[in-house]
Amino acid sequence: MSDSSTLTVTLLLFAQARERAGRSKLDVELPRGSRLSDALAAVERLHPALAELRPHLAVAVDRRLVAGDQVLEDRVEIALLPPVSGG
Amino acid sequence: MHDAIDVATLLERSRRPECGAIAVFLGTSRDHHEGRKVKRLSYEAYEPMAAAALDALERETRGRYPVVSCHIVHRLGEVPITEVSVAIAVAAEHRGPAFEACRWAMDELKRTVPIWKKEFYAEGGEGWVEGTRLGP
Repeated sequence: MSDSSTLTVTLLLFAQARERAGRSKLDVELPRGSRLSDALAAVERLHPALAELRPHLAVAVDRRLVAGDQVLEDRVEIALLPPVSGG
Repeated sequence: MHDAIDVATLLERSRRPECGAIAVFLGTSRDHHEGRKVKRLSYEAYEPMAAAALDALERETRGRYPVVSCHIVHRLGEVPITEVSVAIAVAAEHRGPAFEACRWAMDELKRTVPIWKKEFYAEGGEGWVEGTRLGP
């Protein structure tokens, strides 16, 4: 559990991102006040193979696509979404 | 979303007394891609977000075109060659808007719904189909 000085976010990885990391989900603990870019940097430190994908990824926070570098709330769900190819 | 798509039920849901047309698009698993023989195909999704995006796409299609209903179903997991991976049924008073709306909805689906297609090749190897970056 997070104490008052930290927050915990869940990263969800799909398709190429999931394969490169070798997992579909992980929790990351960050200092309170951290931004989305901090969470992405943290997951790339754990799984460097994701860095190459980064320019191609869209990011959703709690199932909403986001463009900016927002400050994170505790317990949000961050999804890394490679280019989509349904149909 | 993992079971075979029941096209007959989809069509039944689309029948309306006030409609003179139902346009249907079925996407099917194809056995080749860019010169390579594909032995099987599999789809993955961010399921809650994909379901919400498909609902939104149905609503947006009805808002943009003079059509009465739009139903979209996408299958996930392995879809055997020749089977249906996606189905769109659009009912309208007249065929013109039904055809147009059906095509538009399918094009939008390909660029707005978090679903990914992976191909497994006959000669070995596998690859994610090159897609479109989602935009906020």
